[in-house]
Amino acid sequence: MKLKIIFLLSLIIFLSGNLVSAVCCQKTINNQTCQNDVEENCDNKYSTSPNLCEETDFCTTGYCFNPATGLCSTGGIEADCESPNKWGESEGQCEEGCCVGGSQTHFTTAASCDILSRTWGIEAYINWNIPESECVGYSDDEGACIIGNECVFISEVECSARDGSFYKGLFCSSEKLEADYGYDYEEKSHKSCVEGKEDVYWFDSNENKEGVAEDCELYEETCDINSRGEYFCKSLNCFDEVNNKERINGETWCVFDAYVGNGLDIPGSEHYLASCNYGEIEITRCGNYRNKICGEKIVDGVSRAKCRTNYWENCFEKDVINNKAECEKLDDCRWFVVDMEKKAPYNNFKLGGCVPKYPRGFNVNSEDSSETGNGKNVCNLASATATLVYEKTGPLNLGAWKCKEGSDESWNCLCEEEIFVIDMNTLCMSLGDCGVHVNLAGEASGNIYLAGKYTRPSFDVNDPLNKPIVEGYFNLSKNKVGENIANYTSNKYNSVSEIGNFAFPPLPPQETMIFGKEKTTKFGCLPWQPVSGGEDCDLCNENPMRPCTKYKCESLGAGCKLLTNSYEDENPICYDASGDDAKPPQIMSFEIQGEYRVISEENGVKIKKQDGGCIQEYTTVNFSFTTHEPAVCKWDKTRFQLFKNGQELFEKGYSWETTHSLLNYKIKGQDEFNFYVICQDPYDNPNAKEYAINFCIDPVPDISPPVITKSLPLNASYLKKDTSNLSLDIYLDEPSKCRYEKVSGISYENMVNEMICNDNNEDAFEHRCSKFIDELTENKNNIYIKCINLANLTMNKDYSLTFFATQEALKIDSVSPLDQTIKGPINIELEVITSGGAYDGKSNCSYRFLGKIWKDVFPDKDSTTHKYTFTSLDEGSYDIEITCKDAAENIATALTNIIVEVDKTAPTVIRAYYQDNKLKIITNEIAECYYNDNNRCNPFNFSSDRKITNIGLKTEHFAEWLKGQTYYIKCIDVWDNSNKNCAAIIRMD
Amino acid sequence: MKEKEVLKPKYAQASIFIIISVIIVGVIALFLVISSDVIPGIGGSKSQANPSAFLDSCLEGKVKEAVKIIGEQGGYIEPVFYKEFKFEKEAFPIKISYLCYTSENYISCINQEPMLFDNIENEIKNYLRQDVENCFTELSSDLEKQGYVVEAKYRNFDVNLISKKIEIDINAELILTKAGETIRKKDFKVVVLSKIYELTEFAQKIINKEVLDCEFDYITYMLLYPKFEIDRTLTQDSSIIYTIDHRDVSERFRFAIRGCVIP
Repeated sequence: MKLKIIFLLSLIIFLSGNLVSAVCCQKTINNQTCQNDVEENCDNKYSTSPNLCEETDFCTTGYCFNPATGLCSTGGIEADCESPNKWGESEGQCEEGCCVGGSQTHFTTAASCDILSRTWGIEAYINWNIPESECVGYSDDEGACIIGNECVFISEVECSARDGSFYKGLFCSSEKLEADYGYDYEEKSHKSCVEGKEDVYWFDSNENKEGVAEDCELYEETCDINSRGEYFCKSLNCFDEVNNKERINGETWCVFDAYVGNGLDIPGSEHYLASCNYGEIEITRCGNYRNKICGEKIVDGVSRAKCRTNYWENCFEKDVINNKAECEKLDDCRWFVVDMEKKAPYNNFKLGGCVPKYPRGFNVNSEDSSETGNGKNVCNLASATATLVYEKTGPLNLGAWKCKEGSDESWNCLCEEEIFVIDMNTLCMSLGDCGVHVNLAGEASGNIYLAGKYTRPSFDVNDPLNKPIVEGYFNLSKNKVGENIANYTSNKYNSVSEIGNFAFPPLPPQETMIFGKEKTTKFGCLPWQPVSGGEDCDLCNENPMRPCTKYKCESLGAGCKLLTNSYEDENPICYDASGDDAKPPQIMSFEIQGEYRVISEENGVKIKKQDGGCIQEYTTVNFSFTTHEPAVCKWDKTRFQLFKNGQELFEKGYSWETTHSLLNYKIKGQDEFNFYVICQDPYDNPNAKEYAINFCIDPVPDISPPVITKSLPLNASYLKKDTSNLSLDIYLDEPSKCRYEKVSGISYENMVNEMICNDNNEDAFEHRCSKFIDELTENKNNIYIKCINLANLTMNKDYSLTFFATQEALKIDSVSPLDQTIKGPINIELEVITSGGAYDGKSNCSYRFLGKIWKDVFPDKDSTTHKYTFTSLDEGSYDIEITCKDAAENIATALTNIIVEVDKTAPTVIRAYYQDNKLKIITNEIAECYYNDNNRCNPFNFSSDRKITNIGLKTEHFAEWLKGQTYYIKCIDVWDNSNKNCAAIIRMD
Repeated sequence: MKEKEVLKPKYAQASIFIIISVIIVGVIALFLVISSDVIPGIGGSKSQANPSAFLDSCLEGKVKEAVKIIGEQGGYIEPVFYKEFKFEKEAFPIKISYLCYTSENYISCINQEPMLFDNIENEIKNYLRQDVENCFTELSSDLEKQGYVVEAKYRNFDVNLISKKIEIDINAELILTKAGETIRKKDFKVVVLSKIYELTEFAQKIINKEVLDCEFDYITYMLLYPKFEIDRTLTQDSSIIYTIDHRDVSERFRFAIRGCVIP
């Protein structure tokens, strides 16, 4: 006969060999617990023993503690007590006592008393000596309580808890009590306050409360002591000195570091909520980096304010950014457009749209360019290129080039003037901490450029908008800008799904090119940067009502650091870290792209061709160098000693960087060209001597025709499906004019299709010709280009480009996981496979979570397989939209829903029995199980205890059957959930 | 005599004033009663103003129904292990769950439901499962009728017994769009006032006493806890049925035990 024995968790079974008719069922088929019954009535999913239930372990009764209520039940078995580790055979934490909280009592456990304490809102304590009958019988009436020879005036219940004799309604100074108990307290000896009461009370000479001496008005007055030591009813109102007005108790209003609204919030400034709290003004910061702002309204003459989320990002939502009507529906957004035509006619440059009223602050020291980092992506919205038209002046057009004026067309001449910089900077500032702005010390700094040159518009430091204060707080009403306080409540457009771009200005009409030439000038809006040094760091520490933050500290100077670098401290200190570093930045390495020989010299380098010769004039160079610490570097063609305005900046302008690059710079001059470089660190330490980068220039003049260096789109590109046109840009090595045809071999003179070349100017940063080409209706479309340079040298051969039509739409073939439920925590790999399109499915993909702001691009570029791993998706349901785009701009989208369920439970042993001379255990999920025979499950050592012999994670586990041995078994699942105690204890008889 | 004649018109005048006053008061009262049903409240329907209020009114009846059934049947909607018993004053026999039971004599009963609070929460949850989802669907429909484009995501819900109330935490989300304005609301809480927590705590206290002391002095406890009225009925098979009524709210918890039986 095959002996089969069933076990369950926490089970010890003594095999006797013969079953008797009455057994102990852990559960009967009628769902009874621990009943002695015939075996047929036992539920075989649970334990059964031939012994009486009183003799089994699994039917041992005890105390079961419920952590949710703090209450206990008795007489139950451990398996039914669902709270792990909350069952015990002894009373332990289930002992009950009298829980007393103020005037309330309840006879219960200590844990329940803690919960009641929170419910009652008063500190409660438990007295184990008061029986239930007394605990629930006492009132909260106050009276004299005699404890030993002393009298205290307390409640009846408290007196009982302290084993005193209670005299309801009597004061301790009662003559009768004094006579009976032999003490002598002076009646109404003095006045004082009572905690939690507003009135002024009499006290006897033993500090016992007596009657009310002065009846203070509830919520308007409170008991207080004046400078003469007299107790009185003090008004709970506050005096707001900044606004010179009285605030009633409970009134709340907004407080600011500086001007708010209209997109002019100052870097480093925050919004605060002030409240009059029982006579004291309390100020709380709304958030960090102005992610929360203060909204205020007046109700019956009383201010009501609160901190709320700043919905600044909604302004950039793609459906809002260029939609004035939608924008103006949003409380935290405003419509702002730089419109140069309003400044002067013939300027059609226009840029802007929906921008935040209360720009968010950015972390200048973050590497992350998103809106929660340094904000570079957001600032870039205000970077734009303006197109100007130049014409020759003088008789027969032989004079100098000058921006064209006074015609019916728009020539955008203002876009080179300071007024353009100022207006564009205003747009730039309104996006966040971008562009050039003053900080809380009133020091202007920041980062914008025009036509590759970094610049700073002048700021009127006496303008209240630019004059922040740190003493007291900013009084908006004094500056007549009270309306800029945020609304008390705010609507939200939606969770931001995709940030749009401002609409770009139209190009001037092409026919104007017959008479003039185009010039572009680019305005660059970069994240705001603080001034160098740390002279103003202390300003951050001056107002303890508004403690310094990392954001505010670092905005006061590049040398300012927060001592703790933490928001956790109550009053973190901002200090000037310049003293930590007195060394100027050292240039460490120099690199140049291309075949050049770099000869190191003392404090500089010489650059020559590989063969030792000099470079040709107009050669474009790209080089970079590093500094040993973050620095801002400037350069000039001539030597300069001081680090001051006027020199050129490198690629990242006023950003504190360790790598400094100069790209696409055209070397010009006779014999040689020098870049003299001086760098300065954030602590105002500049190089004493400039670093010289020297290029020697070949004196032989240019005899080569122009060379097209690249085209966009590239040669052999595909057109987007179902389109027959493209916007073509070609780039040249020198100023030139270009024409194109769709047939080859035509001379430049006979070509009729003129391209629009952005400049014929030798100083131009790049030489580009553009054309919108249509009627590309063939599967294979050829374009032939020839160009002529300023020396009238023409290209001998056509520069040919071929563009193919896309035959098939881009498709997303599969998304994995697709609409799946996944058990976690686990890394989830989202895989997308694409096909079709212009390049056989090769594309770039991105995802975004609907209803959230999470989005990113897949790292696989120009691929048909795209994988992205999510490492920390929490429990929940996620709708993910995937968008793939190939190089021909063909787009495909797909949606998937992923539900993440997190397994937090340990595996349980659901069956255990003898099989083929082995102990077989079955777990409810795949797991690894271990055992020891050392009579312990806590602590349990998975590395040293023996593994039950199976390989990998399984639900069935086998161990050697050793008669007489007891195995203490514990299991661990794939998520590292393991049993707190034993999963099973099995004795093999 | 003369004096009486002079006074007569004054009595009549006073009576007329009283009658007119009563009529005016009646008309105003009638107007208020009628207008409360006819005139819609400012701010639109309850669902628009406050989805939680809509869910409150939609679920309150069902929650109370669940509490009533559970209270009558010892913590179960459909008792599995029970004593069927007909009380004299009641029309039908009812199934009353054994919360503590032993078939043996002389020994204490085994607590059949040591996690009584959790069990009741689960029973209420199972009873409401479809209703919560239906109410959420009704809420969506109601909002659609008001012109909103509704995106509704219903996930699940939890029931929590708390002192003096039952909380239903609904894990769901509503995204409402109207005239280009979008509002998002999520995680709704429905609160129904009930003394089921207090009744359960008291039932547990009785069971604990029965297990430990083999008796429960219900007369003394009624004096100590006057809010509770306790009835103890001994049946023929020595089972005891306890009925605890809360005097404030007419809520009841009734359960059976069998233990410490001396034949």
